[in-house]
Amino acid sequence: MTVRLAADVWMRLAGYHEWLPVPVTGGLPDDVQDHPYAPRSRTVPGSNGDRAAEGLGGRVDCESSAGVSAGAPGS
Amino acid sequence: MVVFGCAGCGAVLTAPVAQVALPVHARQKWGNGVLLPVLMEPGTYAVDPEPSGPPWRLWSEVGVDEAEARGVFAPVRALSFGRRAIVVAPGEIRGTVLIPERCGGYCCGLDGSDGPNLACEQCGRAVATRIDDCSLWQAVRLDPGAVRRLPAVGPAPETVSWKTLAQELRDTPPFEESGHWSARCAAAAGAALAHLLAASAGTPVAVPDGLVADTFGRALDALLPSGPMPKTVALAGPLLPHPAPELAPDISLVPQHPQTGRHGSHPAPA
Ligand SMILES: [Zn+2]
Ligand SMILES: [Zn+2]
Repeated sequence: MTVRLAADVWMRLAGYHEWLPVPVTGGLPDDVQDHPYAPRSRTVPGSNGDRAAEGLGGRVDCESSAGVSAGAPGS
Repeated sequence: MVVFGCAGCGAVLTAPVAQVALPVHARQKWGNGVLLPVLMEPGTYAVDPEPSGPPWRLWSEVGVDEAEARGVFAPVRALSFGRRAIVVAPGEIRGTVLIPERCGGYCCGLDGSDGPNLACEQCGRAVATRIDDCSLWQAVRLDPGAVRRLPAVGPAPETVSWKTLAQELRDTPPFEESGHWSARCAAAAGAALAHLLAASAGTPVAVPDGLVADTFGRALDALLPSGPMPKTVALAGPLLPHPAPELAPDISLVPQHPQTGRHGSHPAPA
């Protein structure tokens, strides 16, 4: 069985390219918020990315991460 | 190479582009207020295998069975029942104008949630959706029902060899300056992790020490049981020595070629 990994990342894991001079710890799942290689910021629920992906209308200023009211699906 | 044109009037809508695989991070949402780069390389296009854009149906309307038939196994707010778009970089687009009343639902740019927001400049037909809001990879998604392929304009570029690709990818850093994983690296690792979990079928897996364990081990440990006779995982691919048959892993982690989308395998043993 094969599992595909994007070539650029695969080549680093295979040692073909240098990864980092310090050990890398996996990015998931328990202490994802504070370990140094966690994704910098998780998508805020209801942020624009979510709305675009889910077809929700309404307008959200990215400066404000306060609560977002979910609109109806776009038509 | 192909050029896409308006299905209504035939006007040219793109520069010549060659088909490649849709990048794995195409649907990634990253941060909030973060402007992401352009998704597609210059001179390329990809056909999204998944529907996108309106019409949308809420999860409660879709139901578990229909969602699973679509390959969606975890609840999402809504599923797209739109078309399978042709994706290009915004810079490849020619002869379009924005549709002002479809540009809502944004803060730093367009998010496409209103449906197509670009019209053919010549005839006014809605032909594409430009997406460039924060948190989203910038792209233009051509509506396959509103565009057509114009006669080819020269041969497609040759497929880059793995060796050449390795040299080209040397300068694609997996980390940002801060030391955090880059968005695309996180997307690549996340997608591979999901497929590793599926390949495990819920049984224990054993990953080799080193970078593979560093990258995937902790998540696999947390998500899968431990136990005897784990499925073995190992890197395999065109730039690595071919393992002896008795040492072949149960699950091979192979590189996906960004041009073809196909995975690399070992060269045939000499
Ligand atoms: Zn037209
Ligand atoms: Zn924004």
